[in-house]
Amino acid sequence: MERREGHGAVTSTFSALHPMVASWAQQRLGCPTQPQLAAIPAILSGHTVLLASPTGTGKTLAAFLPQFSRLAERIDRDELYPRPTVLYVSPLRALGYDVEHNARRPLREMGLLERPGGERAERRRGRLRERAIRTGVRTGDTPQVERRLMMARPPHILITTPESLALMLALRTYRRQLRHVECVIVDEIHALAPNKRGAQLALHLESLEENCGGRLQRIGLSATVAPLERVGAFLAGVGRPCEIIDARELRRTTLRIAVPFSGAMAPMAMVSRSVGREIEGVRGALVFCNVRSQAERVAHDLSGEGILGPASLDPDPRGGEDVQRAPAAGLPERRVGVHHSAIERSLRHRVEAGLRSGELHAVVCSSSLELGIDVGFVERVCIVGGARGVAATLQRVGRAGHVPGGIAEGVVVAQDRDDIIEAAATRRLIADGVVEEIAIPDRPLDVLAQWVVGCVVPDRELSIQDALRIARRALPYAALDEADLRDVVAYLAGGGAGGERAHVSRVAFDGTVVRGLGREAASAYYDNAGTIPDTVMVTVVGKDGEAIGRIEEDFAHRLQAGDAFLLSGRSLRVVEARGAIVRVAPHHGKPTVPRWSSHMRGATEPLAHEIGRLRRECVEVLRAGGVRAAACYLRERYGLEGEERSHVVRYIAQQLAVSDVADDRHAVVEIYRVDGAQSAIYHTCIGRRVNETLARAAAARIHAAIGANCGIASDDNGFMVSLPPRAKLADAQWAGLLHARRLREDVMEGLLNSYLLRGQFRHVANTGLLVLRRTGGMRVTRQSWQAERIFERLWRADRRFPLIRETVRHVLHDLLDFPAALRYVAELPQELRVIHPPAASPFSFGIVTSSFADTVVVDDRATLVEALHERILALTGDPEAVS
Amino acid sequence: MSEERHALLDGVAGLTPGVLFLERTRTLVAADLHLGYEEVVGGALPLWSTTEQLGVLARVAHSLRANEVILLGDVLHGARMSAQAARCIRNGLAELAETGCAVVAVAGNHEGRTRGAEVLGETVESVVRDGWHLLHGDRPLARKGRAIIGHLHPSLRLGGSRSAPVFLYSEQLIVLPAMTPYSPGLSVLGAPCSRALSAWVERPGTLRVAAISGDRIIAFRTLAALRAAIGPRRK
Repeated sequence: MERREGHGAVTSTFSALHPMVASWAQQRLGCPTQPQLAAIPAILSGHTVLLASPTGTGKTLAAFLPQFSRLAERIDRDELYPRPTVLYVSPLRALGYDVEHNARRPLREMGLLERPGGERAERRRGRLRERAIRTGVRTGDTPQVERRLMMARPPHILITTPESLALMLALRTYRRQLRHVECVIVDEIHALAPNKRGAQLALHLESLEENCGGRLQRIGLSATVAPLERVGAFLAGVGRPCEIIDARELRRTTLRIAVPFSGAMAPMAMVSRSVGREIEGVRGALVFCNVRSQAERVAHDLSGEGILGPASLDPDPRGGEDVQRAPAAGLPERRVGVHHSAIERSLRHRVEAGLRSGELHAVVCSSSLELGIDVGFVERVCIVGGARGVAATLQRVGRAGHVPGGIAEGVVVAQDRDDIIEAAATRRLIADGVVEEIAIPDRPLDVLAQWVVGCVVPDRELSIQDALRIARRALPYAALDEADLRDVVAYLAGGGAGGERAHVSRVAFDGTVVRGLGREAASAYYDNAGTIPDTVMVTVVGKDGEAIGRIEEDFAHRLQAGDAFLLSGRSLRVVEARGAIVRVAPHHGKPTVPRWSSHMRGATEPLAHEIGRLRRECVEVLRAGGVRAAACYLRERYGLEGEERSHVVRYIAQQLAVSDVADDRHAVVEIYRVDGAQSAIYHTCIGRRVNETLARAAAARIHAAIGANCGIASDDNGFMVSLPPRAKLADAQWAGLLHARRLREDVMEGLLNSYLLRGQFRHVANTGLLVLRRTGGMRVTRQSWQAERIFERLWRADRRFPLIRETVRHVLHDLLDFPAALRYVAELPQELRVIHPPAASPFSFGIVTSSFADTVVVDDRATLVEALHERILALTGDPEAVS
Repeated sequence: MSEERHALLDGVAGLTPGVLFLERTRTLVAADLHLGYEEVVGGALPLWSTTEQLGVLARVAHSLRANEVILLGDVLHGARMSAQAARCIRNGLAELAETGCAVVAVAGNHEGRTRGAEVLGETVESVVRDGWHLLHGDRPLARKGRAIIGHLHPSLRLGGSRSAPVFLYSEQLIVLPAMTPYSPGLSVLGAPCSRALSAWVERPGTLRVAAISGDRIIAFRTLAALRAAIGPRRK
């Protein structure tokens, strides 16, 4: 694999393009950007190219200009036929429309775009030739009329999503058109490679390659991601070369830390006020939150407090009008929108448009706006809490100052002292150029099953050897075993499980060749292709039947009468939960059911490691040279100054006074006794995914040892195990709980009774076409299929069933991080240091309060943390102020 | 495996698979089998619940020397299924009849009343045995009288997807638990259950509760007492 650094002859870059394209580029763009400089010649030479550069560096044009040039040359040669030669695949439907818009404008200005009703194809020499270029978008949203039009007059540049590509390849007419594709552009490849959508795309790119006779040029566009070689191999396929253009460091990114609190944690209102100050007077602002309920809360505060004016984009669909204009007496009319994946698509689009047009002053979002949809000019990016990773931080901050060469500045609004440390560590890693390594799912069998069906519907055939050959060229399946493929095919052919056959098959199989079963059976594929779980929303209504908001079906399904939960910052008690409606009454007190907890992102490995290093070195310096030396160290290595630095020094000093500091090398166990119940906090500093894995094993081991069911909670810095009243473990037992022996079995034991495994089985069964999302034109509802119970039955019948194995793999490797957990415990000393702190130690505040896992209203959490902090201050005295 | 038998009322016993035995006429009653479930929900799965439930019924019918088995509605989860699945269910029902007892299918809402006829053969709206009217329970009883119904899937929810099916009973009304292993059931402590029950008895709180926990039947007192002890607390 070659690497090409971003330099070359400036003048010749554009002049290598077709004259019409070149003169447009010289006039409109002037100088090519670095990525364009390197990528355009590479693309023109026909190589497979991965271009990694930050948002706003002219990436998309770098990929498209050579395509325009080639199409223009075809026109000159009189060889432009009505069929797609360029395929553009993007992970977001909305991005597809954006890109079409952005491709049509230059084409129009170059005079190459087909005008409606203008120039028409001319028939010459008996074949259809064309004089102008058409573009088209084919996604799940494309109306039937447009699809038919596209069939009759296929576009030359076809824009689509991985899911629609999969469907098109399974339909004869599209397949015939797609035979002429010469170049496929995969945008935002970093958002696809690490998940099942990427696995699906990798397989279908190979199907496309087969369909095109193996001469496809592939172009991947990526934001900051690492390692590029791995993403390059994902793009190119196993054994094919890929030219990598690394222009990742082009944009300078700075991160500022805002600390609104003076004690230990900021209540939500204080956080919102701080965000408000940060975006005051700014033209366009994006505010990222880590959980959706928090996004709703911040947006509510921002518009409610009058910081930004009186009106807001209300996510509530009542009345159909999303923008509620309150009379703005004397105040500038400025509005705040909310954007997260649980908000309806049409409303989300309106919020995006609102930000683009400047109608909205700020948008508060979850990770939903991390991807590259054009949101117009964003002057300021705020990250509430922290992004829990370097790539995510760069992606978020990169949304600001969306112009080539601009400096991207982001502000982290810290909610507590851990956030300050996280932001400081992130800043250090950005400066060092360290980015998390992308993990590519290893042979997900559910996606494989779906692909096999897609290859033979409705009545084609595919030999098992061909399937193996094609699949193994896709990077996620490079190591695919023939036995695994055969297991999958045997299941699809009605082989059943545990010795009992199923009566429904998706394919036929005679031991060598897989065959389609005709139109009717094929509808299972056409109706269900894709790997994204449907998020179905359930309406929450009050006593009088008024709609209060909506929650995910998955969450609604777990609610029972009497449960209390949070919605849009309100505490509600369930009166009745059935079907598509949850009836609630106001609740005064703490919620009892956690919300969104499964969506919480954990710190990535390098970030957790850097946080551990900061803690370790700060402790060393503090012990050797005192507060002043520690302050010096924090300034030099982490650029921490003033108040934010005092917070960190005080935090660590307080922790040392009552306990010990766990870092990237040492774990510490703290034992507490509250109301007669014993609990232990393992401080590990290794990230949420690993901590959650270890917590489940610990719970299973305790159950095996003393028969007690314990509660668990985990965050990035550690995990907590709480015993039921009267149960007790000796210090030595606590100290010896984390060992590598039978770790996998114990984690599995802990998982078997959890919702995590069963809930994930639902998605795996859907993707693997074991149970359909839609059948006979109807959606199979949560009510009508009990994933949990089918999982139990299948688990009893056959643990080796391919989709059971996939569920376990997905949970252990993609959601939790079993391999890292195993590595971690294998390196731990035999016995951990056990401490009995006199009061909850400062490092445990987060986990102690989060052990209610979001059940505590954030404001209550802040109150609780401050109360815990007061106790620590009483015990230790305030270490002298540092600056 | 033998089934635990628990006398609910004089001449009426509940058994652990969630079935009822009317002693005078030796009638076995089972509600809400939802046969074919795995396939009707769109699954390419074996019809475990069909073979297992019908096997259990045959065994219980044999050991009790039952004269008759009454399937109290929602015998099928739906009428859309493959020809092979339909054959599998028909064969299973035929095998049940071969144990020497008559098999009567009462119509339920899941069969779409009549659409299931292809698989089930003829169904009836209700029958009378031992002085009780036996019907599915999705529609009210036309005449006055004592009724045995299914349909509601009464259960005690134990958190998550776990639950224990229960019998609700009085001298006027018996509600059978669902026999299908796939339903978490309707919580007997919730308002929807009370509302549904009030169509049948004046004071649902006076119904008694017997829960099936593994191979045991645990009798509680009345629904009202149970609700007071463990139901949702109100402010």
